[in-house]
Amino acid sequence: MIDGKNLSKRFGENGLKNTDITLKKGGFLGLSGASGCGKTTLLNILTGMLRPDSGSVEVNGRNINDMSAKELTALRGGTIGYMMQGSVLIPELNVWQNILLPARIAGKKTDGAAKLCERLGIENIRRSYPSDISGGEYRRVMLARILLADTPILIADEPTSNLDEESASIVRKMLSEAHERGVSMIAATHDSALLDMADSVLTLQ
Amino acid sequence: MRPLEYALNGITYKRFASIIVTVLVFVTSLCMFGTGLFTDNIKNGADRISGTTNTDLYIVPEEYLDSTKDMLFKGKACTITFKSDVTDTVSNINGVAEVSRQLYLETLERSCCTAGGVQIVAFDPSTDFSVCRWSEDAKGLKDNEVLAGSASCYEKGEELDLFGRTFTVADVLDETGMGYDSSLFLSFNAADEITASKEYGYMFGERTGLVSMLLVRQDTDSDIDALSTEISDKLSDTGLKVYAIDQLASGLKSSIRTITRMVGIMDIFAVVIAAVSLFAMVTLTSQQRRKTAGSLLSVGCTKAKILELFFTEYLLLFAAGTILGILTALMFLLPLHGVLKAALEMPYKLISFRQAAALLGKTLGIDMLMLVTALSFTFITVMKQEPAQLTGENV
Repeated sequence: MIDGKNLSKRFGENGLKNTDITLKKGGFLGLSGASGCGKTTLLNILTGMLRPDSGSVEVNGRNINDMSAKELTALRGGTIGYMMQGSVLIPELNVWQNILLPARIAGKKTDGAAKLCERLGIENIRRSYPSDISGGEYRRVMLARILLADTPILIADEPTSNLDEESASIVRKMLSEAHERGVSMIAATHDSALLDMADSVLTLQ
Repeated sequence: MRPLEYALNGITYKRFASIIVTVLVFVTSLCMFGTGLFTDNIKNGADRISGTTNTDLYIVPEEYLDSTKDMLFKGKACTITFKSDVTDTVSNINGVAEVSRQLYLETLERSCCTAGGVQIVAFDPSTDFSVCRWSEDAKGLKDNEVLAGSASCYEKGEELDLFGRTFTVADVLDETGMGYDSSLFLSFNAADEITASKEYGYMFGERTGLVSMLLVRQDTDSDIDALSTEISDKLSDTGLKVYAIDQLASGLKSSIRTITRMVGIMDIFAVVIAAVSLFAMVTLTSQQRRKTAGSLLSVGCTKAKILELFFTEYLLLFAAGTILGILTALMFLLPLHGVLKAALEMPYKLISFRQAAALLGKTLGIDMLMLVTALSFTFITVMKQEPAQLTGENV
Protein backbone atom coordinates (compact mmCIF):
# COMPACT_ATOMS: atom_id res chain seq x y z
CA MET A 1 0.00 0.00 0.00
CA ILE A 2 2.77 2.42 0.92
CA ASP A 3 6.30 2.07 -0.35
CA GLY A 4 8.86 4.73 0.58
CA LYS A 5 12.40 4.50 -0.82
CA ASN A 6 15.58 6.29 0.15
CA LEU A 7 13.72 9.14 1.85
CA SER A 8 15.75 12.09 3.16
CA LYS A 9 14.73 15.41 4.63
CA ARG A 10 17.14 17.67 6.43
CA PHE A 11 16.29 20.19 9.18
CA GLY A 12 19.44 21.83 10.52
CA GLU A 13 21.44 19.13 12.33
CA ASN A 14 18.51 16.71 12.45
CA GLY A 15 16.43 15.05 9.81
CA LEU A 16 15.59 11.89 8.00
CA LYS A 17 18.38 10.07 6.17
CA ASN A 18 18.00 7.52 3.36
CA THR A 19 15.08 5.73 4.93
CA ASP A 20 13.08 2.93 3.34
CA ILE A 21 9.63 2.04 4.61
CA THR A 22 6.98 -0.39 3.43
CA LEU A 23 3.40 -0.91 4.64
CA LYS A 24 1.61 -3.89 3.20
CA LYS A 25 -2.15 -4.07 2.80
CA GLY A 26 -3.71 -4.92 6.15
CA GLY A 27 -0.37 -4.55 7.88
CA PHE A 28 0.47 -2.72 11.11
CA LEU A 29 3.88 -1.11 11.15
CA GLY A 30 5.26 0.31 14.38
CA LEU A 31 7.70 3.19 14.11
CA SER A 32 10.10 3.86 16.94
CA GLY A 33 13.21 5.86 17.60
CA ALA A 34 14.60 8.59 19.79
CA SER A 35 13.07 12.04 19.77
CA GLY A 36 14.29 14.10 16.80
CA CYS A 37 15.18 11.06 14.71
CA GLY A 38 12.62 11.99 12.07
CA LYS A 39 9.53 9.90 12.85
CA THR A 40 7.08 12.76 12.40
CA THR A 41 8.97 13.98 9.34
CA LEU A 42 8.69 10.53 7.80
CA LEU A 43 4.94 10.39 8.48
CA ASN A 44 4.48 13.87 7.01
CA ILE A 45 6.29 12.74 3.85
CA LEU A 46 4.20 9.55 3.60
CA THR A 47 0.99 11.55 3.78
CA GLY A 48 2.09 14.15 1.24
CA MET A 49 2.15 16.87 3.88
CA LEU A 50 5.85 17.46 3.21
CA ARG A 51 8.04 16.91 0.17
CA PRO A 52 11.27 14.98 0.78
CA ASP A 53 14.68 16.31 -0.30
CA SER A 54 15.22 12.99 -2.02
CA GLY A 55 13.55 9.64 -2.41
CA SER A 56 10.06 8.64 -3.45
CA VAL A 57 6.80 7.46 -1.96
CA GLU A 58 4.28 5.29 -3.72
CA VAL A 59 0.76 4.84 -2.37
CA ASN A 60 -1.24 2.08 -4.02
CA GLY A 61 1.32 2.06 -6.82
CA ARG A 62 1.30 5.80 -7.54
CA ASN A 63 4.23 8.10 -6.79
CA ILE A 64 2.86 10.92 -4.68
CA ASN A 65 5.54 13.28 -6.05
CA ASP A 66 3.72 13.03 -9.37
CA MET A 67 0.37 13.85 -7.84
CA SER A 68 -1.24 17.26 -8.21
CA ALA A 69 -2.25 19.23 -5.13
CA LYS A 70 -5.83 18.14 -5.73
CA GLU A 71 -4.85 14.47 -5.93
CA LEU A 72 -2.80 14.79 -2.76
CA THR A 73 -5.78 16.34 -1.01
CA ALA A 74 -7.98 13.48 -2.18
CA LEU A 75 -5.34 11.02 -0.95
CA ARG A 76 -5.42 12.54 2.53
CA GLY A 77 -9.18 12.74 2.64
CA GLY A 78 -10.13 9.42 1.11
CA THR A 79 -7.19 7.02 1.40
CA ILE A 80 -5.03 8.03 4.35
CA GLY A 81 -6.32 9.13 7.73
CA TYR A 82 -3.56 11.02 9.52
CA MET A 83 -3.66 11.54 13.26
CA MET A 84 -1.00 14.18 13.79
CA GLN A 85 0.98 14.76 16.94
CA GLY A 86 0.41 18.47 17.38
CA SER A 87 -2.61 20.62 18.14
CA VAL A 88 -4.29 20.57 14.78
CA LEU A 89 -7.97 20.57 15.64
CA ILE A 90 -9.74 23.57 14.11
CA PRO A 91 -9.96 26.01 17.04
CA GLU A 92 -13.09 27.73 15.68
CA LEU A 93 -15.05 24.46 15.64
CA ASN A 94 -16.23 22.59 18.70
CA VAL A 95 -15.23 18.99 19.44
CA TRP A 96 -18.27 17.52 17.71
CA GLN A 97 -17.76 19.61 14.57
CA ASN A 98 -14.07 18.68 14.53
CA ILE A 99 -14.88 14.98 14.78
CA LEU A 100 -17.36 15.14 11.90
CA LEU A 101 -15.14 17.33 9.70
CA PRO A 102 -12.94 14.74 7.86
CA ALA A 103 -15.87 12.39 7.22
CA ARG A 104 -18.03 15.24 5.94
CA ILE A 105 -15.25 16.47 3.63
CA ALA A 106 -14.82 12.94 2.27
CA GLY A 107 -18.61 12.64 1.86
CA LYS A 108 -18.85 9.70 4.24
CA LYS A 109 -21.55 8.80 6.74
CA THR A 110 -21.23 10.15 10.25
CA ASP A 111 -23.81 7.89 11.92
CA GLY A 112 -21.27 6.23 14.21
CA ALA A 113 -19.89 9.46 15.62
CA ALA A 114 -21.89 9.45 18.85
CA LYS A 115 -21.01 5.85 19.65
CA LEU A 116 -17.35 6.54 18.87
CA CYS A 117 -17.36 9.45 21.30
CA GLU A 118 -18.97 7.29 23.93
CA ARG A 119 -16.36 4.56 23.55
CA LEU A 120 -13.53 7.08 23.72
CA GLY A 121 -15.05 8.76 26.76
CA ILE A 122 -15.44 12.15 25.13
CA GLU A 123 -19.23 12.35 24.83
CA ASN A 124 -19.41 14.99 27.57
CA ILE A 125 -17.08 17.44 25.83
CA ARG A 126 -18.78 17.45 22.44
CA ARG A 127 -19.79 21.09 22.74
CA SER A 128 -16.42 22.21 24.13
CA TYR A 129 -13.81 23.93 22.04
CA PRO A 130 -10.32 22.46 21.54
CA SER A 131 -8.78 25.18 23.70
CA ASP A 132 -10.97 24.09 26.64
CA ILE A 133 -10.14 20.37 26.77
CA SER A 134 -7.24 18.48 28.35
CA GLY A 135 -4.30 17.02 26.42
CA GLY A 136 -5.65 13.49 26.85
CA GLU A 137 -9.09 14.46 25.62
CA TYR A 138 -7.47 16.24 22.70
CA ARG A 139 -5.71 13.01 21.61
CA ARG A 140 -8.93 11.04 21.84
CA VAL A 141 -10.80 13.61 19.76
CA MET A 142 -8.05 13.40 17.14
CA LEU A 143 -8.42 9.63 17.06
CA ALA A 144 -12.20 9.80 16.90
CA ARG A 145 -12.23 12.00 13.82
CA ILE A 146 -9.71 9.78 12.01
CA LEU A 147 -11.61 6.61 12.86
CA LEU A 148 -14.90 8.15 11.77
CA ALA A 149 -13.40 9.01 8.36
CA ASP A 150 -12.88 5.26 7.91
CA THR A 151 -9.92 5.38 5.52
CA PRO A 152 -8.15 2.20 4.35
CA ILE A 153 -4.84 3.49 5.69
CA LEU A 154 -4.43 5.03 9.14
CA ILE A 155 -1.24 6.81 10.16
CA ALA A 156 -0.97 7.86 13.78
CA ASP A 157 1.75 9.93 15.38
CA GLU A 158 2.08 9.23 19.11
CA PRO A 159 -1.58 8.20 19.50
CA THR A 160 -1.23 7.31 23.18
CA SER A 161 0.95 10.19 24.38
CA ASN A 162 -0.48 12.40 27.15
CA LEU A 163 -3.02 9.71 28.02
CA ASP A 164 -3.49 7.97 31.35
CA GLU A 165 -3.22 4.22 31.24
CA GLU A 166 -6.98 3.66 31.08
CA SER A 167 -7.40 6.03 28.13
CA ALA A 168 -4.29 4.67 26.44
CA SER A 169 -5.72 1.18 26.76
CA ILE A 170 -8.96 2.28 25.06
CA VAL A 171 -7.01 3.88 22.24
CA ARG A 172 -4.90 0.79 21.74
CA LYS A 173 -8.02 -1.34 21.70
CA MET A 174 -9.71 0.83 19.08
CA LEU A 175 -6.62 0.87 16.89
CA SER A 176 -6.45 -2.89 17.22
CA GLU A 177 -10.09 -3.21 16.18
CA ALA A 178 -9.45 -0.99 13.15
CA HIS A 179 -6.50 -3.19 12.23
CA GLU A 180 -8.68 -6.29 12.58
CA ARG A 181 -11.22 -4.67 10.22
CA GLY A 182 -8.45 -4.59 7.62
CA VAL A 183 -7.21 -1.05 8.02
CA SER A 184 -3.51 -0.76 7.19
CA MET A 185 -1.71 1.13 9.89
CA ILE A 186 1.51 2.91 10.78
CA ALA A 187 1.94 4.18 14.34
CA ALA A 188 4.94 6.18 15.49
CA THR A 189 5.14 5.70 19.24
CA HIS A 190 7.22 5.24 22.37
CA ASP A 191 4.42 3.07 23.83
CA SER A 192 5.82 -0.47 24.05
CA ALA A 193 2.35 -1.95 24.42
CA LEU A 194 1.32 -0.40 21.12
CA LEU A 195 4.55 -1.50 19.44
CA ASP A 196 3.83 -5.03 20.64
CA MET A 197 0.58 -4.98 18.66
CA ALA A 198 2.43 -4.17 15.39
CA ASP A 199 3.26 -6.81 12.77
CA SER A 200 6.67 -5.25 12.39
CA VAL A 201 8.63 -2.35 13.86
CA LEU A 202 10.89 0.09 12.05
CA THR A 203 13.37 1.81 14.33
CA LEU A 204 14.81 5.07 13.07
CA GLN A 205 18.34 6.03 14.09
CA MET B 1 -18.70 21.70 5.93
CA ARG B 2 -20.91 24.58 4.90
CA PRO B 3 -18.95 27.83 4.45
CA LEU B 4 -21.58 29.87 6.30
CA GLU B 5 -21.49 27.51 9.28
CA TYR B 6 -17.70 27.69 9.40
CA ALA B 7 -17.72 31.47 8.98
CA LEU B 8 -20.20 32.02 11.80
CA ASN B 9 -18.20 29.69 14.03
CA GLY B 10 -15.03 31.56 13.19
CA ILE B 11 -16.58 34.96 13.81
CA THR B 12 -18.03 33.84 17.14
CA TYR B 13 -14.82 32.20 18.25
CA LYS B 14 -12.59 35.13 17.27
CA ARG B 15 -14.94 37.76 18.64
CA PHE B 16 -12.35 40.42 19.30
CA ALA B 17 -10.61 40.14 15.94
CA SER B 18 -13.99 40.00 14.18
CA ILE B 19 -15.20 43.12 15.93
CA ILE B 20 -11.98 44.97 15.09
CA VAL B 21 -12.19 44.04 11.39
CA THR B 22 -15.87 45.05 11.29
CA VAL B 23 -15.17 48.36 13.00
CA LEU B 24 -12.32 49.15 10.59
CA VAL B 25 -14.53 48.40 7.57
CA PHE B 26 -17.28 50.43 9.24
CA VAL B 27 -14.94 53.44 9.62
CA THR B 28 -13.78 53.11 6.02
CA SER B 29 -17.33 52.90 4.69
CA LEU B 30 -18.57 55.72 6.90
CA CYS B 31 -15.73 57.99 5.76
CA MET B 32 -16.08 57.16 2.09
CA PHE B 33 -19.85 57.20 1.85
CA GLY B 34 -20.61 59.80 4.54
CA THR B 35 -18.10 62.42 3.50
CA GLY B 36 -18.72 61.60 -0.16
CA LEU B 37 -22.44 62.22 0.25
CA PHE B 38 -21.83 65.38 2.28
CA THR B 39 -19.42 66.97 -0.18
CA ASP B 40 -21.40 65.80 -3.20
CA ASN B 41 -24.49 67.47 -1.73
CA ILE B 42 -22.56 70.73 -1.37
CA LYS B 43 -21.15 70.47 -4.88
CA ASN B 44 -24.58 69.51 -6.19
CA GLY B 45 -26.09 72.61 -4.61
CA ALA B 46 -23.43 74.86 -6.11
CA ASP B 47 -23.39 73.20 -9.52
CA ARG B 48 -27.14 73.47 -9.93
CA ILE B 49 -27.51 77.14 -9.07
CA SER B 50 -27.67 78.22 -12.69
CA GLY B 51 -30.07 75.51 -13.78
CA THR B 52 -32.18 75.91 -10.65
CA THR B 53 -32.89 79.60 -11.10
CA ASN B 54 -33.30 79.35 -14.87
CA THR B 55 -31.82 82.83 -15.07
CA ASP B 56 -28.98 84.18 -17.22
CA LEU B 57 -28.41 87.58 -15.63
CA TYR B 58 -29.31 89.22 -12.33
CA ILE B 59 -29.71 92.96 -11.91
CA VAL B 60 -29.28 94.04 -8.30
CA PRO B 61 -28.46 97.31 -6.48
CA GLU B 62 -24.69 97.47 -6.06
CA GLU B 63 -24.99 98.57 -2.44
CA TYR B 64 -27.02 95.43 -1.65
CA LEU B 65 -24.72 92.99 -3.47
CA ASP B 66 -23.55 91.23 -0.28
CA SER B 67 -27.09 91.03 1.08
CA THR B 68 -28.25 89.56 -2.22
CA LYS B 69 -25.53 86.89 -2.15
CA ASP B 70 -26.36 86.09 1.48
CA MET B 71 -30.02 85.74 0.62
CA LEU B 72 -29.45 83.65 -2.50
CA PHE B 73 -26.82 81.29 -1.18
CA LYS B 74 -26.97 81.36 2.62
CA GLY B 75 -30.67 81.96 3.23
CA LYS B 76 -30.08 85.10 5.29
CA ALA B 77 -33.21 87.23 5.21
CA CYS B 78 -32.97 90.84 4.02
CA THR B 79 -34.97 93.71 2.57
CA ILE B 80 -33.68 95.13 -0.71
CA THR B 81 -35.24 97.83 -2.92
CA PHE B 82 -34.33 99.55 -6.15
CA LYS B 83 -34.45 103.33 -6.17
CA SER B 84 -36.54 103.09 -9.34
CA ASP B 85 -38.07 100.32 -11.42
CA VAL B 86 -36.12 99.75 -14.63
CA THR B 87 -38.04 96.68 -15.81
CA ASP B 88 -39.28 98.34 -18.97
CA THR B 89 -35.82 99.72 -19.80
CA VAL B 90 -34.25 96.29 -19.55
CA SER B 91 -37.09 94.56 -21.40
CA ASN B 92 -36.54 96.80 -24.41
CA ILE B 93 -32.85 95.98 -24.79
CA ASN B 94 -32.07 93.90 -27.84
CA GLY B 95 -31.10 90.34 -26.85
CA VAL B 96 -33.29 90.22 -23.74
CA ALA B 97 -35.93 87.52 -24.05
CA GLU B 98 -37.68 87.77 -20.71
CA VAL B 99 -37.49 89.89 -17.57
CA SER B 100 -39.12 89.10 -14.26
CA ARG B 101 -38.97 91.16 -11.09
CA GLN B 102 -38.66 89.96 -7.53
CA LEU B 103 -39.01 91.80 -4.23
CA TYR B 104 -37.26 90.67 -1.05
CA LEU B 105 -38.84 91.56 2.28
CA GLU B 106 -37.71 90.40 5.69
CA THR B 107 -40.31 89.86 8.41
CA LEU B 108 -39.51 91.23 11.85
CA GLU B 109 -39.73 87.97 13.73
CA ARG B 110 -40.75 84.39 13.42
CA SER B 111 -42.15 81.95 15.90
CA CYS B 112 -40.49 78.73 14.85
CA CYS B 113 -37.45 77.22 13.19
CA THR B 114 -35.28 80.33 12.96
CA ALA B 115 -34.40 83.09 15.36
CA GLY B 116 -34.27 85.84 12.75
CA GLY B 117 -36.85 87.15 10.31
CA VAL B 118 -38.33 85.15 7.49
CA GLN B 119 -37.41 85.96 3.91
CA ILE B 120 -40.44 86.90 1.84
CA VAL B 121 -39.92 86.77 -1.90
CA ALA B 122 -42.56 88.50 -3.98
CA PHE B 123 -42.67 87.48 -7.63
CA ASP B 124 -44.84 88.30 -10.57
CA PRO B 125 -46.69 85.12 -11.60
CA SER B 126 -47.46 86.60 -15.02
CA THR B 127 -43.78 87.07 -16.01
CA ASP B 128 -42.06 84.55 -13.74
CA PHE B 129 -39.77 81.93 -15.27
CA SER B 130 -37.86 80.95 -12.13
CA VAL B 131 -40.20 80.09 -9.23
CA CYS B 132 -42.53 78.22 -11.56
CA ARG B 133 -39.78 75.66 -12.07
CA TRP B 134 -40.08 74.61 -8.42
CA SER B 135 -43.89 74.48 -8.26
CA GLU B 136 -46.65 74.03 -10.81
CA ASP B 137 -48.86 76.28 -8.65
CA ALA B 138 -46.61 79.35 -9.07
CA LYS B 139 -48.25 80.66 -12.23
CA GLY B 140 -51.72 80.59 -10.71
CA LEU B 141 -50.80 81.82 -7.25
CA LYS B 142 -53.61 83.86 -5.68
CA ASP B 143 -53.03 87.00 -3.65
CA ASN B 144 -53.97 85.26 -0.38
CA GLU B 145 -51.67 82.31 -1.03
CA VAL B 146 -47.98 81.68 -0.49
CA LEU B 147 -45.55 79.08 -1.70
CA ALA B 148 -43.32 77.69 1.00
CA GLY B 149 -39.65 76.81 0.50
CA SER B 150 -38.76 73.17 1.07
CA ALA B 151 -37.02 73.94 4.39
CA SER B 152 -39.54 76.45 5.71
CA CYS B 153 -41.43 74.15 8.14
CA TYR B 154 -44.82 74.82 6.53
CA GLU B 155 -47.10 72.27 4.94
CA LYS B 156 -49.51 72.61 2.04
CA GLY B 157 -52.89 73.95 3.20
CA GLU B 158 -51.50 75.44 6.39
CA GLU B 159 -52.44 79.01 7.26
CA LEU B 160 -49.96 81.59 8.43
CA ASP B 161 -49.86 85.31 9.24
CA LEU B 162 -47.49 87.68 7.48
CA PHE B 163 -47.55 91.42 8.07
CA GLY B 164 -51.02 91.14 9.64
CA ARG B 165 -52.48 89.18 6.73
CA THR B 166 -53.50 85.55 6.63
CA PHE B 167 -52.13 83.43 3.82
CA THR B 168 -52.66 79.80 2.88
CA VAL B 169 -49.74 77.66 1.79
CA ALA B 170 -50.65 76.67 -1.77
CA ASP B 171 -47.67 74.40 -2.26
CA VAL B 172 -44.27 73.49 -0.90
CA LEU B 173 -41.53 74.04 -3.46
CA ASP B 174 -39.02 71.49 -4.63
CA GLU B 175 -35.64 71.74 -2.97
CA THR B 176 -33.42 74.30 -4.72
CA GLY B 177 -30.36 73.91 -2.52
CA MET B 178 -30.26 77.71 -2.25
CA GLY B 179 -31.44 80.30 0.24
CA TYR B 180 -34.84 80.14 -1.39
CA ASP B 181 -35.51 76.91 0.51
CA SER B 182 -36.19 78.78 3.74
CA SER B 183 -38.22 81.55 2.04
CA LEU B 184 -41.93 82.19 1.52
CA PHE B 185 -43.14 83.29 -1.91
CA LEU B 186 -46.13 85.51 -2.56
CA SER B 187 -47.49 87.50 -5.47
CA PHE B 188 -46.49 91.07 -6.26
CA ASN B 189 -50.09 92.19 -5.67
CA ALA B 190 -49.96 90.88 -2.11
CA ALA B 191 -46.55 92.50 -1.61
CA ASP B 192 -47.88 95.83 -2.89
CA GLU B 193 -50.69 95.69 -0.35
CA ILE B 194 -48.15 95.17 2.41
CA THR B 195 -45.66 97.83 1.33
CA ALA B 196 -48.41 100.41 0.85
CA SER B 197 -50.35 99.56 4.03
CA LYS B 198 -50.66 101.97 6.91
CA GLU B 199 -49.62 99.34 9.47
CA TYR B 200 -46.40 98.24 7.78
CA GLY B 201 -45.83 100.82 5.10
CA TYR B 202 -43.50 102.77 7.39
CA MET B 203 -40.96 100.01 6.73
CA PHE B 204 -41.23 100.37 2.96
CA GLY B 205 -42.19 103.97 2.40
CA GLU B 206 -45.90 103.24 1.88
CA ARG B 207 -45.18 102.59 -1.76
CA THR B 208 -46.21 100.02 -4.34
CA GLY B 209 -44.17 98.62 -7.21
CA LEU B 210 -40.99 98.11 -5.21
CA VAL B 211 -38.36 95.89 -6.85
CA SER B 212 -35.28 94.16 -5.38
CA MET B 213 -33.95 92.19 -8.30
CA LEU B 214 -34.56 91.71 -11.98
CA LEU B 215 -34.07 88.27 -13.43
CA VAL B 216 -33.15 88.27 -17.10
CA ARG B 217 -33.23 85.54 -19.70
CA GLN B 218 -31.33 86.19 -22.91
CA ASP B 219 -32.34 85.36 -26.46
CA THR B 220 -30.84 82.08 -27.55
CA ASP B 221 -28.74 83.77 -30.25
CA SER B 222 -27.42 86.65 -28.14
CA ASP B 223 -23.99 86.84 -26.53
CA ILE B 224 -24.18 86.86 -22.74
CA ASP B 225 -21.11 89.09 -22.24
CA ALA B 226 -22.22 91.62 -24.83
CA LEU B 227 -25.72 91.65 -23.39
CA SER B 228 -24.39 92.13 -19.88
CA THR B 229 -22.27 95.05 -21.04
CA GLU B 230 -25.16 96.66 -22.90
CA ILE B 231 -27.49 96.39 -19.90
CA SER B 232 -24.78 97.81 -17.62
CA ASP B 233 -24.33 100.77 -19.96
CA LYS B 234 -28.06 101.46 -20.01
CA LEU B 235 -28.24 101.29 -16.20
CA SER B 236 -25.01 103.17 -15.52
CA ASP B 237 -26.67 106.01 -13.60
CA THR B 238 -29.09 103.87 -11.56
CA GLY B 239 -26.73 102.23 -9.07
CA LEU B 240 -27.73 98.83 -10.44
CA LYS B 241 -25.25 96.17 -11.50
CA VAL B 242 -25.58 93.18 -13.81
CA TYR B 243 -24.21 89.82 -12.79
CA ALA B 244 -24.22 86.33 -14.26
CA ILE B 245 -24.98 83.66 -11.65
CA ASP B 246 -21.39 82.40 -11.81
CA GLN B 247 -20.12 85.88 -10.91
CA LEU B 248 -22.43 86.04 -7.91
CA ALA B 249 -21.37 82.56 -6.85
CA SER B 250 -17.63 82.87 -7.55
CA GLY B 251 -16.58 83.50 -3.94
CA LEU B 252 -18.92 80.81 -2.76
CA LYS B 253 -17.55 78.23 -5.17
CA SER B 254 -14.04 78.98 -3.93
CA SER B 255 -15.19 78.31 -0.35
CA ILE B 256 -16.87 75.12 -1.47
CA ARG B 257 -13.70 73.95 -3.20
CA THR B 258 -11.73 74.59 0.01
CA ILE B 259 -14.25 72.75 2.17
CA THR B 260 -14.55 69.76 -0.14
CA ARG B 261 -10.76 69.59 -0.45
CA MET B 262 -10.31 69.62 3.34
CA VAL B 263 -13.05 67.05 3.87
CA GLY B 264 -11.52 64.97 1.07
CA ILE B 265 -8.08 65.03 2.72
CA MET B 266 -9.57 64.00 6.07
CA ASP B 267 -11.51 61.30 4.27
CA ILE B 268 -8.40 59.90 2.57
CA PHE B 269 -6.50 60.10 5.86
CA ALA B 270 -9.19 58.12 7.71
CA VAL B 271 -9.49 55.54 4.94
CA VAL B 272 -5.71 55.04 4.81
CA ILE B 273 -5.53 54.59 8.59
CA ALA B 274 -8.43 52.12 8.52
CA ALA B 275 -6.92 50.22 5.57
CA VAL B 276 -3.48 49.99 7.20
CA SER B 277 -5.06 48.86 10.50
CA LEU B 278 -7.10 46.29 8.64
CA PHE B 279 -4.00 44.99 6.87
CA ALA B 280 -2.18 44.77 10.23
CA MET B 281 -5.14 42.87 11.67
CA VAL B 282 -5.16 40.44 8.78
CA THR B 283 -1.42 39.93 9.15
CA LEU B 284 -1.75 39.26 12.88
CA THR B 285 -4.48 36.69 12.38
CA SER B 286 -2.76 34.98 9.44
CA GLN B 287 -0.65 32.83 11.83
CA GLN B 288 -3.81 31.24 13.21
CA ARG B 289 -5.21 30.91 9.72
CA ARG B 290 -2.04 29.13 8.58
CA LYS B 291 -2.57 26.47 11.22
CA THR B 292 -6.28 26.17 10.37
CA ALA B 293 -5.47 25.83 6.68
CA GLY B 294 -2.86 23.14 7.43
CA SER B 295 -5.38 21.23 9.55
CA LEU B 296 -7.99 21.44 6.83
CA LEU B 297 -5.51 20.27 4.18
CA SER B 298 -4.50 17.33 6.40
CA VAL B 299 -8.07 16.01 6.43
CA GLY B 300 -8.64 16.36 2.70
CA CYS B 301 -10.03 19.86 2.33
CA THR B 302 -9.12 21.39 -1.05
CA LYS B 303 -7.43 24.77 -1.37
CA ALA B 304 -10.47 26.08 -3.23
CA LYS B 305 -12.68 25.03 -0.33
CA ILE B 306 -10.34 26.70 2.17
CA LEU B 307 -10.43 29.89 0.10
CA GLU B 308 -14.23 29.69 0.09
CA LEU B 309 -14.31 29.27 3.88
CA PHE B 310 -12.00 32.23 4.52
CA PHE B 311 -13.79 34.33 1.89
CA THR B 312 -17.19 33.71 3.47
CA GLU B 313 -15.90 34.74 6.88
CA TYR B 314 -14.31 37.93 5.54
CA LEU B 315 -17.37 38.63 3.39
CA LEU B 316 -19.69 38.54 6.40
CA LEU B 317 -17.42 40.88 8.37
CA PHE B 318 -17.00 43.28 5.45
CA ALA B 319 -20.72 43.23 4.66
CA ALA B 320 -21.57 44.00 8.29
CA GLY B 321 -19.04 46.86 8.45
CA THR B 322 -20.11 48.29 5.09
CA ILE B 323 -23.84 48.18 5.81
CA LEU B 324 -23.35 49.69 9.27
CA GLY B 325 -21.13 52.44 7.86
CA ILE B 326 -23.56 53.37 5.09
CA LEU B 327 -26.61 53.24 7.38
CA THR B 328 -24.84 55.41 9.98
CA ALA B 329 -23.97 57.98 7.30
CA LEU B 330 -27.56 58.02 6.08
CA MET B 331 -28.95 58.20 9.62
CA PHE B 332 -26.91 61.34 10.26
CA LEU B 333 -27.10 63.07 6.92
CA LEU B 334 -30.75 62.53 5.95
CA PRO B 335 -32.60 63.49 9.17
CA LEU B 336 -30.18 66.37 9.76
CA HIS B 337 -30.37 67.60 6.17
CA GLY B 338 -32.20 70.81 7.08
CA VAL B 339 -29.99 71.51 10.08
CA LEU B 340 -26.85 70.97 8.04
CA LYS B 341 -28.13 73.19 5.26
CA ALA B 342 -28.85 76.00 7.72
CA ALA B 343 -25.52 75.59 9.49
CA LEU B 344 -23.46 75.45 6.30
CA GLU B 345 -24.75 78.74 4.91
CA MET B 346 -24.09 77.61 1.36
CA PRO B 347 -25.97 75.75 -1.36
CA TYR B 348 -26.64 72.21 -0.21
CA LYS B 349 -28.88 69.91 -2.18
CA LEU B 350 -29.35 66.17 -1.93
CA ILE B 351 -27.81 64.39 -4.86
CA SER B 352 -30.06 62.29 -7.04
CA PHE B 353 -30.76 58.62 -6.35
CA ARG B 354 -28.59 57.74 -9.33
CA GLN B 355 -25.66 59.78 -8.00
CA ALA B 356 -26.15 58.23 -4.55
CA ALA B 357 -26.17 54.78 -6.12
CA ALA B 358 -22.89 55.60 -7.89
CA LEU B 359 -21.37 56.74 -4.59
CA LEU B 360 -22.63 53.57 -2.95
CA GLY B 361 -21.11 51.53 -5.76
CA LYS B 362 -17.79 53.31 -5.29
CA THR B 363 -17.87 52.59 -1.55
CA LEU B 364 -18.76 48.95 -2.10
CA GLY B 365 -16.08 48.67 -4.78
CA ILE B 366 -13.34 49.99 -2.51
CA ASP B 367 -14.54 47.76 0.34
CA MET B 368 -14.55 44.79 -2.02
CA LEU B 369 -11.02 45.69 -3.16
CA MET B 370 -9.92 45.74 0.48
CA LEU B 371 -11.65 42.39 1.02
CA VAL B 372 -9.94 40.81 -1.99
CA THR B 373 -6.57 42.27 -0.91
CA ALA B 374 -6.96 40.94 2.64
CA LEU B 375 -8.10 37.55 1.38
CA SER B 376 -5.37 37.32 -1.26
CA PHE B 377 -2.70 38.21 1.28
CA THR B 378 -4.00 35.58 3.69
CA PHE B 379 -4.41 32.93 1.05
CA ILE B 380 -1.05 33.50 -0.66
CA THR B 381 0.70 33.53 2.74
CA VAL B 382 -1.04 30.29 3.63
CA MET B 383 -0.69 28.43 0.37
CA LYS B 384 2.96 29.07 -0.41
CA GLN B 385 3.87 26.70 2.42
CA GLU B 386 3.56 22.94 2.60
CA PRO B 387 0.73 21.57 4.76
CA ALA B 388 3.14 20.24 7.41
CA GLN B 389 4.77 23.68 7.68
CA LEU B 390 1.36 25.26 8.14
CA THR B 391 0.49 22.97 11.02
CA GLY B 392 3.95 23.39 12.55
CA GLU B 393 4.40 19.63 12.80
CA ASN B 394 8.09 19.26 13.69
CA VAL B 395 9.28 21.21 10.66
